[in-house]
Amino acid sequence: MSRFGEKSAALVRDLSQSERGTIPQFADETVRGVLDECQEHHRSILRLIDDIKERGTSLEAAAPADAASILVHHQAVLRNKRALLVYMNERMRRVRDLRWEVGAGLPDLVAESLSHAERTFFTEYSALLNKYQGRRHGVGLNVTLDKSPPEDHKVEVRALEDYGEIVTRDGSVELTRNSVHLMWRDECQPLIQEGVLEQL
Amino acid sequence: MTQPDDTDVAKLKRAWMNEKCAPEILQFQADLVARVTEQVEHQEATVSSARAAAAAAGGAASGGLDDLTAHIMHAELNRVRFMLRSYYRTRLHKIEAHVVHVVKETEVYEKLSPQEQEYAKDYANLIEGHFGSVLKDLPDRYTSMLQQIEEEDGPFDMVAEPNLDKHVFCRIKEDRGDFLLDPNDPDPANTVELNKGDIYLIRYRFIKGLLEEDALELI
Repeated sequence: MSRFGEKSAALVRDLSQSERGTIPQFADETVRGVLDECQEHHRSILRLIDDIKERGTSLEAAAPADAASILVHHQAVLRNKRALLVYMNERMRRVRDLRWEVGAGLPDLVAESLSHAERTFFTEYSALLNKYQGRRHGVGLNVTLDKSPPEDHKVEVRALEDYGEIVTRDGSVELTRNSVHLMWRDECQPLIQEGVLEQL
Repeated sequence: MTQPDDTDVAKLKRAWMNEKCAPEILQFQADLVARVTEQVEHQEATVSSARAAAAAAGGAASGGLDDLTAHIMHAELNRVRFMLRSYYRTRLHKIEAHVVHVVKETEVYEKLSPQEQEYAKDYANLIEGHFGSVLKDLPDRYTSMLQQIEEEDGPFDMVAEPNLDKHVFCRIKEDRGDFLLDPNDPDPANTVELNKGDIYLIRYRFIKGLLEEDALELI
């Protein structure tokens, strides 16, 4: 066994050093490694307990040296568990933010770096938010829009891709790459979120 | 700019600011939100029919509303909708941050709207499943999301709770005279005189009750 807690510390360190808002590749191997390490600690604990019992002493009356080694293994598991949870929680938070920023579609590039469980989480979280926002069971308002207070009715936007024609209140607009348009704020917001338009 | 503070929009603004500043989730303003939502929908219909009428008349002012009025109404509408969204959003973020606490404590849970209660329950299940996907491979008795190590009657030592000792700015809305900050510490030096219009920076825990009585507002 390597040094106690080395792998789990690396998990947290790598994540905290990554750029905010990005999601690095899920460290499947390290996570497995940490889990194995915990099982190993657990086996040591059980072995120590057995040894004590074999010698005919009760656990309460165990020698300080034995009690201490059990405690060390126990604390090592707790520390690993805490690190795992920090790792998962922080990643989960970033996946969650993604739903608020890019909408219900998970970009392929990001999907590749998520674990299977995280992809499931995104899908289910997205469904949860949709239900809350829905007309039938929810509040009937898209709450991911309007991140900052509104100022103007119309905003200048640039198309980032050839999106084709869209119909607006003022008629139809052809969105070709790099074309600049003056559009109603509420109409272009969803497209800004999707990354089709950028606000100038 | 001052505006009368008894309109629904002004009340929503208060509720929204209180919600933004308070560390814990506050009582959902069901009636107020319902009234504002209705007014927003009504205004929306008025604006779009005014627009349509203006367009039909070839851009010239027609019938009911002229273009400028419609424009101003639209601006107001956008502001109100922003507040409403932000109000909902702030509450959802608080629910997510302390979901286990929110679902477990009946007193807190009852402050939520029916949609929020649903959201909180589903979200709690969701994260339990998500964390469970890794925790299940830990040794026996270490797999709980709520306890570091499972112990019957042991404390739930891994449940995040809002920090009620956070300091908040508040403005007093009514004269209350000498107010005892901490009921557990009846030292006269521990009172402050609360007069209408005073502004304090104070620990949230001490003024929680006053906020619920609407005797002050957070800023």
